[in-house]
Amino acid sequence: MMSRSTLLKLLTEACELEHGLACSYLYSAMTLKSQPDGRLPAEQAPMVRQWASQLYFIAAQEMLHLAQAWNLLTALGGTPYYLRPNFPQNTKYYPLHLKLVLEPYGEAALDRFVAYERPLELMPEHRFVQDAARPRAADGESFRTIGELYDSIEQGIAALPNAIVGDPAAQVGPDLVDFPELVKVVDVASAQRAIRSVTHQGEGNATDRTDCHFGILMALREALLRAKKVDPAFEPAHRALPNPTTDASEQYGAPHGSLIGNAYSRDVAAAFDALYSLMLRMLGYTWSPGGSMAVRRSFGRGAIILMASVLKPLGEALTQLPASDDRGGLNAGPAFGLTRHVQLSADERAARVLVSERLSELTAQVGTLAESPQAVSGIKRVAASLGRVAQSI
Amino acid sequence: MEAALASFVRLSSALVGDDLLPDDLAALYFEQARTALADELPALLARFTHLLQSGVEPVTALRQHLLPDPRWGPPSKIILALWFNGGIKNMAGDWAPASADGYYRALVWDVIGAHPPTLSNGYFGHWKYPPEC
Amino acid sequence: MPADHFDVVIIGAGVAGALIADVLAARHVNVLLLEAGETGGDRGALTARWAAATVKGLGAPYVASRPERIPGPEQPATEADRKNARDVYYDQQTPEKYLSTYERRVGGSTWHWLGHTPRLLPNDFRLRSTYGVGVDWPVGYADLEPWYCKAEKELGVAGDDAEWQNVHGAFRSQPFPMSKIWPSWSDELFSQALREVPISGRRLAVLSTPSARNSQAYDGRPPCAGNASCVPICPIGAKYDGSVHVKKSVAKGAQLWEKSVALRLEKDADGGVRTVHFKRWDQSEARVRGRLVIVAANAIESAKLLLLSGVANSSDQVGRNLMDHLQKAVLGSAREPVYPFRGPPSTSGIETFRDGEFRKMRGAFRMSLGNDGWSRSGSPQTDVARLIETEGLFGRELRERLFHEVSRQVRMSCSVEVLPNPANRVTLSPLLDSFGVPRPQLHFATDDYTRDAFGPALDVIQDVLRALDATVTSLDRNPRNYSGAGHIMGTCRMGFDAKTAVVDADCRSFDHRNLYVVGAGAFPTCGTANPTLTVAALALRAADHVLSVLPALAAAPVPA
Repeated sequence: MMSRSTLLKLLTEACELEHGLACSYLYSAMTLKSQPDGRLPAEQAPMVRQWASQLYFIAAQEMLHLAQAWNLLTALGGTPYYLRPNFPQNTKYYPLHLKLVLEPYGEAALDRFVAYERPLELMPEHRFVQDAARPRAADGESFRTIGELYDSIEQGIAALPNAIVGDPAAQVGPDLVDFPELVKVVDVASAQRAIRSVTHQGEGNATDRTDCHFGILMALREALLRAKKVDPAFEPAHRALPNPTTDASEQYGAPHGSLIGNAYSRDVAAAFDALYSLMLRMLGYTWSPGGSMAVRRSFGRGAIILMASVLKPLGEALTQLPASDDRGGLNAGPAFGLTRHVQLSADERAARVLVSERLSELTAQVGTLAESPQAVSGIKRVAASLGRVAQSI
Repeated sequence: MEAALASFVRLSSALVGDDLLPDDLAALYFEQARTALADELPALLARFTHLLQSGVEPVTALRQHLLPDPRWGPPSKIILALWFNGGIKNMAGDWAPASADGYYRALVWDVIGAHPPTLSNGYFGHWKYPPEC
Repeated sequence: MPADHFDVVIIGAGVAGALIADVLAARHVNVLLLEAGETGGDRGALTARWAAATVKGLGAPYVASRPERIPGPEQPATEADRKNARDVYYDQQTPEKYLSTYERRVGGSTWHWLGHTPRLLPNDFRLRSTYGVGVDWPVGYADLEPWYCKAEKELGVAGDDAEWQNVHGAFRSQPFPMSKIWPSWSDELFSQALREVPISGRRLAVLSTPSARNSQAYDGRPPCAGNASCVPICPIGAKYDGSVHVKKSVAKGAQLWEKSVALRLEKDADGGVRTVHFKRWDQSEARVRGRLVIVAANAIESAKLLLLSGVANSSDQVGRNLMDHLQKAVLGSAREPVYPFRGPPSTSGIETFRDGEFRKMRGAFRMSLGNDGWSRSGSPQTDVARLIETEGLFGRELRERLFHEVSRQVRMSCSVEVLPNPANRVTLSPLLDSFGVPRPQLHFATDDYTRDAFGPALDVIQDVLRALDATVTSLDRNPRNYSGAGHIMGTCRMGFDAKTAVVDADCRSFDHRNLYVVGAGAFPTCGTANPTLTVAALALRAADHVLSVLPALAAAPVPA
């Protein structure tokens, strides 16, 4: 039987994977061009914008999965977990042996996405034989697909006596955060429902399903290959730096990332990371049973608005800024870098002070960046949106 | 860039209030304006250039010399509306675009915090929140 | 079987015909879909054509590839035609006009429907016995409920189970296949206001509108990305349209003959209707035979075909009782930005007034909240032109004013019930279309039952806009000024017997037992629900019935 501690550990692993996947999808989506240029003919631009919306949708569902995993974690006695290694991540870091990286939209990125979401029965044969020959570890720690990881968690919860110990008041549903499909976990049956909703949206069980992520990604890949066949010069995405970072130090940076050399772009990327980290902490606070419903709802809602109205356009703006001072070099991009920080205090007053102070600091910072002659129009709009979010919280 | 296009861009920038108009879009709208305003456009551009050369600020040139003028006002307004609406109004009151791209990139959608219909660049549910604007 | 003999010939490849073809083909029935329109270009090409079009009407993406105009109310050929668009095809001599149109096309008018799929209410099926007006249906809500569930699954309906359980007694035995389409920012502001301010002493609930629009990937189609263009085209196929089941049925072995206009049905000596004469776009004529024939054009074309053929009309009800939902839109300006022109054009509504004792006296109405600003009376382009031409604005000032005005535009609409009236009807015009086929002559007038509903509906809308602290900018109380909903209903009504109705509860002709007439033409009354889901439920039910009678028809000898 799996211990509670092992179950919690597996769930944190699921959180890291869902979270990492979301960033990887978001990065590629943010690199897709929203206007035609020399390598994206005007008549193809609408199709490319539709591709971006598909990828944003999958990323939003990974975010929902992360929230779902937080409900499971909380129900089993844990707390929301959002840490993960910075990009690029080591292939050996998870038993999946798949590299989580940030790279522009293209064939390589799509091949990687398809591999993340691939059902076991569609594994390439050589790996399938290897993996199938490798017995599944009884403790679930050696999963071959994300689906298997969730299977182990589901079985572990069913077998664990008195599995659900968390405060039901800590559970978050659509009443607190805008995920209409988020299942509150209050007993073993709802835990099962929660897990199945996640695996259903991901790889799916049957190979002919086209409505799961795997199916959407395969269709995106085919569409890209078709467009490239017609026009080999077709380039739907900005040439953005793979795995950009604002800090390539060994300390707590992304030592294997690519440093953004242009000072202005680096400042914008740093502001993105700071907002991203604040968004995660606000979202996490929504799971605090101690906080008042009003503040939990306001932080949960604020976090989602930050994602939609601030991080998305800011990330898109970054992929249009130069990464270095060399003319004709690559563009920058959002690093999704995590660094040392504290979680929001369960003390509501302290949490509110921290959030509102941080929001006004960052609003001022982005406001200054928007005034720079190097600013692209997206940044001006982000500054305005941020001002409004800051006001509303 | 040919001189006429360059002065079309300068005039357009003053009209729409944006110094960073995309070159390819300017070329597209310039062609459309040149066809629709075959008689008026060269004279209008010459007049605008002349005003600038005599030291008049672009916005002042528009506000005081061009827009209120019975000769220069109508073609200036057609160019302004072309940038905002992506087309030129025909007799029936419809906006004829130069192309799908000309329609999609019209300024109006961005200014009102929306996007051109059929082209949201959004994901499921984005309409639940105010836009970034 | 010869190449022009089928088990079942379905006339019309819209949502009803396609659903039936899919059910039959799955059971290895040899089925033909005969369609007057064409498949046309792919969705991307249609969308691009619309974007490049000067006149952005309903038919703009679907202009036919044929050089001459294809008959139909949405295919205007010239500027002059367009100004009188509805007279180009319909022949209407009455002072009031019938205003709804349709598209001839594989997949039908669902290409440009909004996608709303509320169900009819239990009392909608028994209007005569409950309120003493209209007629009763030969089926009740409970009979149709399982078929509603199936239809929701086939079309892929997104909805909120909790909100929609037992609305006016309409129980739901199955959950929606998908969670709801998210309400817009503007809906939230309305909901908030109505939570705080009672309207005529009651709290009005704003409900998310069930829609055949994906809120997640479903059935191989992507989730809605909020392209705000359901009408006239969804650029990504997130919204259901009839082409989905056309493709499915063809993959299962059904045949599709497009660009083939049915001219008339021919009656055999034994009274069976088995032969369909049709004309192709190249003007060649041919015929096709089926053991069973299903007429699945829309309510105007189905009635026209039966009248042309002189069949199925012993009741003299074919063409009569033409209905629509009549709409009025009220426009206003909110105090703060509501950000219209984003997301589906409408995502929420008020269902409160869809049933009640008042229906003894006047029509019920459904109300919808718009996310489409003032597009019922113009477009943001109209606002640009106004600010430039009448106020002389430009540059930054123009941007600011434009944002200030357009971002606050709100719309609320009511959609009013119409009673069946035998004098409201489709007949054959002496005027011919470009195929030499008589055009439909329409006779339509409203009555007090409908007109008396506009006043109370407009009162509610005014109160709601006041609750939102919005200024009303356009409200027309003249009951003769309304717009059509695109809901073409009646004309081939179902009923209890051959004397009073064209078809029975299974959509089977009383006069010819191998002839079926499906679609909204079969509705005896129209309630206030957008008709497509009920069309789909009745079609699935009819398909099931067809499967039950086919073995006997297959065994019987067919006259030569």
